Amino acid sequence: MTGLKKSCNTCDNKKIAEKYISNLSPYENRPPIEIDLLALTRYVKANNIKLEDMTEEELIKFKTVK
Amino acid sequence: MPQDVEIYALVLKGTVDVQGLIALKNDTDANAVYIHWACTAPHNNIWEHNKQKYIGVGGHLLAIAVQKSIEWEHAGVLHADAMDEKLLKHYIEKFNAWSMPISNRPFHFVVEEESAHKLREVYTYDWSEEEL
Repeated sequence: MTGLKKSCNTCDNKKIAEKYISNLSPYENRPPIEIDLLALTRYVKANNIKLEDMTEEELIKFKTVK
Repeated sequence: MPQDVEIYALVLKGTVDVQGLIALKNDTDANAVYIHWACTAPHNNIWEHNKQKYIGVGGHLLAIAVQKSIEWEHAGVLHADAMDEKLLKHYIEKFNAWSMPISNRPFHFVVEEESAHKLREVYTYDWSEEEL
């Protein structure tokens, strides 16, 4: 066999990185999420709930752009 | 690079040997720091290059993000987009990150203040204002 041997894991990861960069360019701003994360995470902890269990109505309370 | 993104380097003490870089945005809209991107030096990147000279670079980079979050009055809270599901799970297990998918960003996550402060206690470093 000739040439460099690369693990498939490494090759796959390079593809993942390229896909990520094409979706979220490091040269451009990301769309704002418009949610107060400090207030939201405090609310989740204070109420002993999980973020994924929050309803749309609850999440709207933390919107920073109405 | 967006103008409101600042880049910080993790170096070995007393050297300019960069072990990792992190690009941070004071995301006032989200009341948190946003990690625009972060990367380890190739010799520390086991994920992409299958080798790692130093471990813990990722944790130290996150600790820098926590520090800036505190300075920018977001109490240590940060958010970011993981590269893929596997890395997202790693952040959840290692740093107690919370998965918070948003439209077109399935691997978006947030680290709340208590976990952020623990992270800062574990991954200590000396701060320098020196510019590379």
